[in-house]
Amino acid sequence: MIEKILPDGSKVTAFPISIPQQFMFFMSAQYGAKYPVNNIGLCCFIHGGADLEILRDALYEAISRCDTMRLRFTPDEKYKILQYITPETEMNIDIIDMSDIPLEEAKLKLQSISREDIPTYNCEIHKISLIRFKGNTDGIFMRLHHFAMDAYSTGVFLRDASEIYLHKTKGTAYPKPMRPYLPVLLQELQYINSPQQTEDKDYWFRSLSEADEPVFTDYMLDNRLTQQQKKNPSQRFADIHSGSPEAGTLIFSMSEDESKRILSVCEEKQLSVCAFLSMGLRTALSVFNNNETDVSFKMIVNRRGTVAEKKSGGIRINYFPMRSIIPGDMKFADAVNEISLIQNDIYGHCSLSFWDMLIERHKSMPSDAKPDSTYDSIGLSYQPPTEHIQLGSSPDEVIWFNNGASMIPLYLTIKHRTTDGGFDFIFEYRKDPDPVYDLNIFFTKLRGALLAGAEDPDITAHVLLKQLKITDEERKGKNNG
Amino acid sequence: MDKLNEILLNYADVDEIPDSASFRKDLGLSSFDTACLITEIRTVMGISLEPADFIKCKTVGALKDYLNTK
Repeated sequence: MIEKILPDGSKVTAFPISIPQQFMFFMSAQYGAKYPVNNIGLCCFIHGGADLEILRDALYEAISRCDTMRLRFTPDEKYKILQYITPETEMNIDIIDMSDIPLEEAKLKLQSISREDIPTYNCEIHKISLIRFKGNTDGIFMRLHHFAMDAYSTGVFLRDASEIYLHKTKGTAYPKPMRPYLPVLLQELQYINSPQQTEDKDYWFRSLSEADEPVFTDYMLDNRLTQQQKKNPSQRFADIHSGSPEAGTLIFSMSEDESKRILSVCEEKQLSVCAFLSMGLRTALSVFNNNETDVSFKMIVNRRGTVAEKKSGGIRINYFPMRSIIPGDMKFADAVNEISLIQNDIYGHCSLSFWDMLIERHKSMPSDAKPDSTYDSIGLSYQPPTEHIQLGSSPDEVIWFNNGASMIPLYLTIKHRTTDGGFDFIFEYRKDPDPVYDLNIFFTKLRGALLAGAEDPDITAHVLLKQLKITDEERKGKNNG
Repeated sequence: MDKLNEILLNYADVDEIPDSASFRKDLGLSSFDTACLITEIRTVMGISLEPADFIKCKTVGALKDYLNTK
């Protein structure tokens, strides 16, 4: 807790930033204003319209209940950056009329605003607008700062505002209180240099150094490791971070029926949905890498277990290597359980910073590895369904806008659609080298693996890989493209 | 088992937790929540609980019965 005098002379109680915030701070400094990695842009489309004046009141009320929607940052000589909560918001939620332009054009405008640089210090960092679109559709557009909010806390905030709106318009129950940010932040800060941090470092050092060296598996058909092995045939890591961070997004939707099949087999067999999806991803990587049994990717963990962690806003994401070795004769469901055990183990040690993790990782890498040499081509994040409250006359649709930059070459987020609960697979990819063709093929393998596993949980990895083999036509398409 | 209810209320945003509540459907716990919950039960209640044993308990009541045998 630090007493800090702001440039306008006012005094605030400020706090250092947490480990996930330090990661974002570093990344933002690295990429600068040209690549706004701090931006989170989204719009909740309310079909059938809403009473925007009441909705605006509901949003102000929700901001007063969510500390990190009132969070601010200030530079500091000793700590570089500090954070403090303002008691009241100064945000002006404006109502913008876009009903005179086609919906697609309006979306492009919002996309463009999502990429504008957000000032970080001593000012409001979030922006919310209410928008009237063409065709009796309204929207809540939010451009939030990633130092203060992540996708999960944004969803919780939106739900809270929606519940308040419905309470005001339809007399439904007022939502349960949100939780304060500071106790959760203090817990995060106490972790730094704690015995638990030492234990986590030991855990990662042991698990990374005692195992054989992993091998890089690629989502590109022209495998980058194979190319790099021309110089060094025994190399197992790859260097894939050289391109610009400029990013695009590809979204593949799995139908409601197919998604339900996966969810019901998880329910019936007591399988973790996250592990099931991870098994699909590692199978697709295996298919793309000559049926490799040893597959690694980055697991993005949103460390929110308790209600206090879930409802206090902020950012709690962290990245970890997720390695699984699945032999050909292992059944799909058994592999899911195996992955689940690995993930549970990781969850017990997932507060360690990404930098500390990299240090532990590099202790066991060959000496010619560069600081960003990696075994993981993809980062996976699964967002379990949060009950979305419908505001309009038909299910609301939430669209997330790409901020134009990606910190890692490929980031796969698997989310449940607000409209029907089906899975959306959102690939945020770096444009250099262009992976669009590869990702289209990659998704067919990922989808095929998930549906085959849901159809027959006893299918072995070997049979599955045979079914999903890349065809000559698929390879030819890449060369022709 | 009052202690278990107290711990569970940290993980589910509900007023009370009936024994018939299932962890995933009724309390909405994800695999991450479950991993944290198991760690907290071990630490606070001093009971050794393995994830594989937890998974077998489909409801709060089943978990209470299991923990009573420990």
